[in-house]
Amino acid sequence: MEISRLCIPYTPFEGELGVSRVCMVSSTGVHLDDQEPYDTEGDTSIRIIPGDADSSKLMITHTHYDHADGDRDVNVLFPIDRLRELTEERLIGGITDTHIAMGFTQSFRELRDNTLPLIAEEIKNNKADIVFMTAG
Amino acid sequence: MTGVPTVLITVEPEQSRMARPPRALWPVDYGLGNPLGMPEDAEVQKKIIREALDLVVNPSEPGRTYELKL
Repeated sequence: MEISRLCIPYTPFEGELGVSRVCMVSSTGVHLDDQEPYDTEGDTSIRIIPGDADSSKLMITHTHYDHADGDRDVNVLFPIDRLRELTEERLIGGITDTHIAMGFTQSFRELRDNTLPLIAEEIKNNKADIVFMTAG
Repeated sequence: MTGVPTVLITVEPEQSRMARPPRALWPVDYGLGNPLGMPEDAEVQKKIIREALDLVVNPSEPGRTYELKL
């Protein structure tokens, strides 16, 4: 995989954490229960998770790791409730209006050429200050 | 666009290093499926998030995977 073969794209953080908006990007197979499930054999499509999503409506479609704990409490891999609490505690400014999720894939070229630009565009539009990523 | 700072919680450091994430935190006590720890353990879940955000706020070594032992 050569997503960042030539350099590490390190963007320094400038600003204050207490007013920063955090966006989650997760390849754990999480999605809302009324969204189309991922193809567990391989899927490079993304799901947009609204920032005000009810965590009890989130589910996981992924067959390449054991997500029994995530089924019980989605926060073990998509910590939307914890980020809300950290907003109330004023550690962060808030979470973005949208978050991005996807499932299993080994189609890295398609991921790089088609999916990653979509994710970058979403992050640009939702005005994230920090991106918090989780994988299975 | 100048980019947005990112941080990854990894439970498979050997695999994630291949994608060369700018900042990565490895909670060594947990494995696949549990990057934020155990169900209903809000304190540990938040502790891992706080540690990850510390990597964002404070200068870190680009590309290094930082281990977190809880």
